[in-house]
Amino acid sequence: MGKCVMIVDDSSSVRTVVGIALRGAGYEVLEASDGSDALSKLGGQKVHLIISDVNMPGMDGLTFLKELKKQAVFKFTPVMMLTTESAADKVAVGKAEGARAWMTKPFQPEQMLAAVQKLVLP
Amino acid sequence: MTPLAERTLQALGLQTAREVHPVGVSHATERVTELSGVWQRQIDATSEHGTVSVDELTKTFAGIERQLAQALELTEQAAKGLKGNGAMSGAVASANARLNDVMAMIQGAVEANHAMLATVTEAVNAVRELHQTAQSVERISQMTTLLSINARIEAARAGEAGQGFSVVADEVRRLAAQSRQESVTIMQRVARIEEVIQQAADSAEAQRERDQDLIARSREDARQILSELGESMGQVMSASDGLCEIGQQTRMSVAMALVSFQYQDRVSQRLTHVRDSVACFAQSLAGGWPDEATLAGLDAQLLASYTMPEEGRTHRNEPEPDQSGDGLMLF
Repeated sequence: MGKCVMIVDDSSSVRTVVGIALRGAGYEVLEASDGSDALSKLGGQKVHLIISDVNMPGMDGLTFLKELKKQAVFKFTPVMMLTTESAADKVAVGKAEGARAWMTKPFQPEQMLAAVQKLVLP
Repeated sequence: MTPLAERTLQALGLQTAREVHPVGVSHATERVTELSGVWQRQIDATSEHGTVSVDELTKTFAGIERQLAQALELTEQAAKGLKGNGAMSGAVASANARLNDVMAMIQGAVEANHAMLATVTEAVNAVRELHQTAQSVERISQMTTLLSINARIEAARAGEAGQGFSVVADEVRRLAAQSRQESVTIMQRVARIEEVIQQAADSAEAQRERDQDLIARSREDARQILSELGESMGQVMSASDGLCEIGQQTRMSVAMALVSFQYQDRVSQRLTHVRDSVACFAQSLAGGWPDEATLAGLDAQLLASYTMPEEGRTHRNEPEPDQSGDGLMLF
């Protein structure tokens, strides 16, 4: 069984693009449309990496990150923010809340995969 | 109204339209307020339409990408089937082995004919010896005849005393003549047999030559067939490799097209920020035409709402810089 990566983004097209790149590299992919959907679908289930957008309707990415890290089971789960957001204050919040990386859109799949390989849990 | 728009209004010290008394609002302001509603609806509709369309396009391209992946997998399997474990060389080797078996069978038949020809040749030699023997018998009978003639002459000289011997000499001469006649008959029959056997030997020799020619031509045909078979299979493998390469290139093109669909997310965010600003502007009209400070506040709030650097650059009418770096920050 391959390593599991969750992609959280309100944009279906972004989820599709990320999903194709990850599945093509042998990862299993879980999809969620915002933070609440992600927490619900995770349900305490461990994954090897979470990739999350920041600006989403419902629960945004930074709130999701904060809520995620409250759960002990996700304490060491790496989270990469994948967003159009590049404001330094938002990046600083993400880092403070425990994000391991911040990648701005638009992204090239090979760049995203290279980052995933660096971050994904063994 | 989005939470951001509400926060903007609060920051500007404005109330929502519902809380403001309509008295004192000019007709022009009311019209602009109505228009701003139209703008917001148009922006929302455009954003929704763009999102739905791009989602559909993304799904379609994702489907094409999956189908390409499957087609590539099948093509690669076929190519491996031809190349892997020496399948193609094995097929050629198998055909070669079968052709060699057939050639060996033909060669065996030719050798059997050759052995038969050797037997016939032996028979010819035996008949020749028989012919020589018959000739010897004829010579002996001739000599015996001469001997009987001489014996009869001597018997005549002996007169009365040689009469008995003369009878014997006549009888010997008659037997010698009979023997000569038989040897002539034997020689005639042997000659006929020799002639028939020689015809058979000639025929076998001609057949042997034809067989040798057939074998030579069969070997050449087999070699040519195998060569053409190998060439055809090589062309199939080459075509298969070409298909794989084109498929990979097409898959990459589709992947690139999918990457381009990320613009929808950016367009959607830009439209949301503009829509929210229009909503804030409309709310600011509730108390009459906004003053300069309110408009400056709206401008500042719009700038603050941006999530992408290019939004700020567009706002300030600045040129887009060349993209560089991978936009990744590791913590």
